[in-house]
Amino acid sequence: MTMSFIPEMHDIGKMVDNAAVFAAIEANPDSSFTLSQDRRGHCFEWIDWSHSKHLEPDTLTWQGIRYHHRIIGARLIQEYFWPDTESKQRQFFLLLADHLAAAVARSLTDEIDARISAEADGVYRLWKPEYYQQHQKSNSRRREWAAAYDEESLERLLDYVCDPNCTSESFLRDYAYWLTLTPEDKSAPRNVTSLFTHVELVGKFYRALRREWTNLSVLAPTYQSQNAETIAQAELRWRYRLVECCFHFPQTLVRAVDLNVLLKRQQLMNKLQQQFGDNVLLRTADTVLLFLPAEESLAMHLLVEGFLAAGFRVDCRVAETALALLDAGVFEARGSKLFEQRCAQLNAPFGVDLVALDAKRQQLREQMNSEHRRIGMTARGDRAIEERLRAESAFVALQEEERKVRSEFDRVRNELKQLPEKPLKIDCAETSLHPDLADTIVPPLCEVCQMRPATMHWPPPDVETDLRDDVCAECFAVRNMGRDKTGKTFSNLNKWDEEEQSVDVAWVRFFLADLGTLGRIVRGLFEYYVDRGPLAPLDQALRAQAKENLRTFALLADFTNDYRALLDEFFAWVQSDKGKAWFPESHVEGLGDKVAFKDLYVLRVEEGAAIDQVIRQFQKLLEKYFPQCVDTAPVRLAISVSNVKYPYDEHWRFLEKPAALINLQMPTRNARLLINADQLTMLQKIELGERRTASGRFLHDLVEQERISGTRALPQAMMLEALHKEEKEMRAHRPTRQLPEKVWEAYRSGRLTARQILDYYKIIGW
Amino acid sequence: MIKSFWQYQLEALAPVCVGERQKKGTWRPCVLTIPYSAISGALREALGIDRDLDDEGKYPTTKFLHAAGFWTTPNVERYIHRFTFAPRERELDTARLPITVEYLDKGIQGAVFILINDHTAHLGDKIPVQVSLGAFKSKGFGHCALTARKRIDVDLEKDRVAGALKTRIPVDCLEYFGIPKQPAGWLRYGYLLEAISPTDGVFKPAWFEPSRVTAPAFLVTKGDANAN
Repeated sequence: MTMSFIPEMHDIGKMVDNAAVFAAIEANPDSSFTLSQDRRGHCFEWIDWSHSKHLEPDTLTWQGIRYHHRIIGARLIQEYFWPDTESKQRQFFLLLADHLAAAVARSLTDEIDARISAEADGVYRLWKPEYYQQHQKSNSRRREWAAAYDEESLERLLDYVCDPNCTSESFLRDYAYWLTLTPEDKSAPRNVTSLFTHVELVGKFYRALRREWTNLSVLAPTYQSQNAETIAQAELRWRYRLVECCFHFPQTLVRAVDLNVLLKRQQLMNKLQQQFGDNVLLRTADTVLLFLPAEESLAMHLLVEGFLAAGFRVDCRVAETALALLDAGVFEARGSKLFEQRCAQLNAPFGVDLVALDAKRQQLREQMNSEHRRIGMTARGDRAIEERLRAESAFVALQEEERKVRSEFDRVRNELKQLPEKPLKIDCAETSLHPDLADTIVPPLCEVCQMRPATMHWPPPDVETDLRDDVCAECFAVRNMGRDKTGKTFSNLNKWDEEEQSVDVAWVRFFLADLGTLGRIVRGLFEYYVDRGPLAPLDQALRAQAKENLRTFALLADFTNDYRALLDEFFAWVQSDKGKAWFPESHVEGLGDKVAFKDLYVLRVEEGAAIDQVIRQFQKLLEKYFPQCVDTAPVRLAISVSNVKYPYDEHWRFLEKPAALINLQMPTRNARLLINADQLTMLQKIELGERRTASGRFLHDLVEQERISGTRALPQAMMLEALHKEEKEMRAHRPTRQLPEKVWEAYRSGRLTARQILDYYKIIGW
Repeated sequence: MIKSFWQYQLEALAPVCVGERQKKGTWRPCVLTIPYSAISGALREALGIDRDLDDEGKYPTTKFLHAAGFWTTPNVERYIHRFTFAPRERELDTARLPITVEYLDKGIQGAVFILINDHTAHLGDKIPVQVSLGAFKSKGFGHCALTARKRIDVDLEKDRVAGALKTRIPVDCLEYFGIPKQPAGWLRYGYLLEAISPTDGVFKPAWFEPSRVTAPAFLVTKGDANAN
């Protein structure tokens, strides 16, 4: 047996369309494969290898593929059927990682499992139910998710397992298409995550768990002096940490070069991922979710030292608990009924008095013995017979009761064997890591970050300019990043800044909600799916159980992957002919091509219609990628429009944490608008047309009336009067129309204020 | 242990500009709280406490007046206005680049807390106190009145809660406000200027809003878990 072990490939059998392959093999008398009696599963148990011409692969990875479901959580590691310790350990950690990476915990009851046998076709994206159907080619009978659907493709897949050059990365790259369309588990409700995310997480968990255990000579893995002989024991006894790190920069964005700090953050996050990739479960533009051992063997400071050295502040949320309770939602554990219930459920055996239970069992046995003696009495006569019969029935009742007590005693004792010595608990903490701070700073203080003494001057001596900023060494280094020959980064932005004529720019930022909010949204979507999807016929208790068993790691990873796809598509649109019609290259200062998350652009705009185009493109992409969560707005758009000379930091303050789905501001026109999808649609329906100046004047009056009266009654009366007047003028063939009916409709609906209508047109209608 | 404070109502009789430091030479945003350095400095100036210079012309290193506060007017950011002016370089008699300054409009109200000790125990005799808060005093900014005094006694064992800090306090002065140096969660650090003489100052590390701290209830907003 050769080659390295690739845990990511353990579920490769899920990409095989069993029905199609069986049909192909059965139809071919010269097939290299012989089918066995057992036709279920994804571990290739349906191939009778002893009678097949095709040889069974003989690699370590194949061991994982074939046998990872032969082990059940409660089986002792000593009983695994491999002779060598290493194989046993490998399977142990593979199964443990498989459990952790599952979207729905494997502990769903048999009852649910039995009733949800129906297989789904392709992955079901909670935020985009039609995801798979859009990929399935309507004219193809082949299942689009299947990488193997006939003999040839099956052989290709098996040969891939034996390929000596295959690595985790190459597997994820080569099979990305099918992995993304295949669900982690084809039965609902486990079909909500892609196999891609699942196997990627399994690989990460496997290596992160295995790294902590170096004593290969001992069979039962020991971690934090808690040994585990079964998977269940490991899940309950081993405590790990989830750490959510959010990286903040202290710099105020003063000049274009200060935007380098966003690039710096991306560089450092890339480096973190390269060095500790197996510990990084999730990543967004400014946040990572880390899986770390509870022991300080991998100290937080070591992971983030690069960030601290560059002056970043790291806000951490740390949750430490047993692997069985570890989930991305665990940070909210303190206030969460869900986690309290889970904890109480797992800790239930601690509340049982085993000694009392044992004493009761002894007492019942003594009573049984006594009854048994009475049954054995040899006296004759009717009374003796009656008494014996009574003793017999009492004995049966006692026997039944003793059996129940014994079984309860054994159950609790076995559960306690799995549990650690003390009850499980969840420890959560919030903390900030800061760079070293001086006790006293003698002026000048750095003008950019205001956290360190200013020891340098910007710009460097080789740049001719009258400007001079006092900056610290860290801010100087950030400003100096990637300077081109002209001494300037962000050349377009600088060019616009120096133009004599006034230039308007739109700062555009896409925003993804924090992981806590995302987790809540994803959980809500899952609950909706359980209530309305294939589990709808189940009774409420079973559905509640299915909901409680959700693990959000994989779902969050899928969500962030889709968010990145949305950003990529927007980036492609900006670079396409359609995008260039509005924003030619000279009008785009995108950080998109420089950072991992293409989420920030500065666009030169000549007219409000260009901003409208950006909003419409975002709407289109939102409908494409996240149609189910438009209302909950985990993905948001913020646009700040002004003259190019307007302070960058003021833009950033608005863009940093947008509160609504669509966030627009134009400070120079005193317009600020935070709206949801419905409001945006209503606003887009209103067309003020050529007479918008007159309408604008009318809207200004309305806003003033609304402000003074504090109610909608007066503005509504004004509108009615205007409409009446308009009608008269129309009749008199003087169409000096001031107020389109759609403005009236939008206002009358009560969902928009006159201020919002006016602000929208201040921003879009110029 | 009991700590006692005078609580004053602060009313801005003129626009107030408590600014962040100058940015890009032309832009000066304002802060939306009343930092320790701003209000303590203003009170020291108004009341003459801690203003006796030593032989070297420096302020005493041990200070007796410790105050901090915050604006109580809801949505105070709505009261932000800007004005632009062109300062002159008096020595060269030349104009400098115009500066845009953010300020808070007059009429807003705040709360100020002054630690009661031997030097501040009789402050009540002097109210209403008028102070000049923040920058641009020569342009008529910063004129504020302290009224409606009230004494607050805080039992540090019982009356402290975890929450988001509403003001800015130097780390060295946390103890005066009964705030332990062990934070209750995320911290926001920054630097505040401490005057060491009428013309000089040094920057000292401080906890900024909305750091998660355990403090007397009047200094924190409870339950602000997302103090970002």
